[in-house]
Amino acid sequence: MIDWLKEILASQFGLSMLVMLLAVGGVMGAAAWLILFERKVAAWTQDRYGPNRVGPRGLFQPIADGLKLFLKEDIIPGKVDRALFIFAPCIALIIGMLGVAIVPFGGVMRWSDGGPLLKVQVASIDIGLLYVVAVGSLGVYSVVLGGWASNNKYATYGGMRAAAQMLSYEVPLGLCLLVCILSTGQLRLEGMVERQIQSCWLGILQPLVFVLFFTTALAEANRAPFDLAECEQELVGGFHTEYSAMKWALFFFGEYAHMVSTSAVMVALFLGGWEPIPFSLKIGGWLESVSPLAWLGAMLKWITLDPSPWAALVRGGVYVGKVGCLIFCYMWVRWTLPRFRFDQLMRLAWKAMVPTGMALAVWAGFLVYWGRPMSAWALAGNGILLLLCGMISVASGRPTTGRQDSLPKVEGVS
Amino acid sequence: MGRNWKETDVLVVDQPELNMAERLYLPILDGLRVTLKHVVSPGRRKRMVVQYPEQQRVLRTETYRGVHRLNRDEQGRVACTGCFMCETACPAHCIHIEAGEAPWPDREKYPIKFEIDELRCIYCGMCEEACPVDAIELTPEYDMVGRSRSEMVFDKEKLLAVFDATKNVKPRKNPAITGY
Repeated sequence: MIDWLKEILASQFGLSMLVMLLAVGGVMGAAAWLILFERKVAAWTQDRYGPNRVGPRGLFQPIADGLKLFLKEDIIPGKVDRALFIFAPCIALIIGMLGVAIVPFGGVMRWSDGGPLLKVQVASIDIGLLYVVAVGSLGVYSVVLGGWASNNKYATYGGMRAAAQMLSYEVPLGLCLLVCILSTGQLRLEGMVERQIQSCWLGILQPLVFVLFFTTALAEANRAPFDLAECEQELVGGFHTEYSAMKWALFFFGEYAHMVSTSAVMVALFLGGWEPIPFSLKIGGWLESVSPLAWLGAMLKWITLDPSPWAALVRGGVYVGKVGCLIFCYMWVRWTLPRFRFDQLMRLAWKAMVPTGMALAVWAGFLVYWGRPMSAWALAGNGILLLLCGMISVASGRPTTGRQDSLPKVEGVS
Repeated sequence: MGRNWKETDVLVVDQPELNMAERLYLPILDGLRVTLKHVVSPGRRKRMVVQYPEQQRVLRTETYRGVHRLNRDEQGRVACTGCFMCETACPAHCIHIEAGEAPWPDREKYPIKFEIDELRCIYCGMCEEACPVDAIELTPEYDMVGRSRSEMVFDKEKLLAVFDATKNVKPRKNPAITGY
């Protein structure tokens, strides 16, 4: 029995199963505690304490919330499309978690010397990034279905807004991914991470692309300042107006699972995956030559490259830590910025982010043609492009919102 | 209508021209810096927040408008003379008085029933201002509890009991007037 288990674990299949169990459990648990963390961050930005009654520093709040939500009356309004109404929140959670499947948590490892090299990820597929795009664009499905099935005009408006927003932000998202693919020449996420370890993190080389991608990720996850699908000032509760109890909570779980998976993808694309600091191989090599800090350099190299299970575990920890930092950024942005108006949202997507993304993709393509896709030229191009964007936007004058044009003329002014 | 407006009647406010940094959404970084400063400074939180059941704010006993009380005079009788001024002044119509002939020689009427619906009351303090004999007053007490709506309709005995409970914290404002 033990031998059989060992044999299973020693294969790629066994390791993938193990990572999958950890990832599913981790994301589910993380989603619950992220809701607490979000409330804490909200409280901190507003000089409050946040939930601090249940357990030490309010740490058991998610358990109390979960109990409450399970025990609440689950109302299904009379005239909803019953099947879709129940289906929508399930989709929200499932799709939120699907993205984690291709995340390369810890590079490669082997259980013992001479054993086969195994990849610490659920699925290493050739079309890695295409999978991200495909699954990511499904995210709006639950929101639209939930809004539509509710048979409520506010909910439907919310769903429709989400659909329009998602369609618009898919375009710059795709362009950003194109830049990543061109720069690294890879579609596999672990391949991209390895290219970044060899040269430099893409977030440093292409900061503008990183910012664009982060913005589109906010929009894709329906997070503030792009949460027009559920803006309570205009749409009661938006797409989840008619939802209650655990179905409503599933939408929340879905949102946080989505945050986790998009952050994980972002870490692989821009922040060097499991590499603890940028240039860790070069810095590690240099530190090894400095006698008192040789152990630090050796440790950096060990974490980044060593195939032992312990190093893989540390790499996983580094990865999860980076994901946590990005999730904090999501929350930080949410509690700083007010919500966009819908025409501002569309203007930002189509008139600012799409042209910028196109220019970035062209520049990345040019660098590939030139044979140095991961060089400092990428950074220089980003800077020049940012300056150009600013100059063009200033030269083009005040943006017309469409609202100003449609205002009635004041009659009879002499 | 509207045909004889002059140009001076219309105030044209132009949107401010944005400079390049503002066009590029760079002031967002400024906002992020401000919120981050709040996130990482727990000392500020300590000053702002009162952890309610354990800590309590120092109440302004003279001016706080909490639950009502019916004052007693020096002889322990209800000071109210049943004049209906408070019931008339009450904007929420939460006071209900039934007056009867007073058993005492110093006034003609006194309240047989005096009820205040504490759930309906908006705690504006108009009753206190209207009262000619300073018989009804608002106290600094705010944490009253009831298991039903009818329990929150305070009758005369309950209001007098509130006086007994709070007269040390907030003594009667002006007993001289009601010396009759």
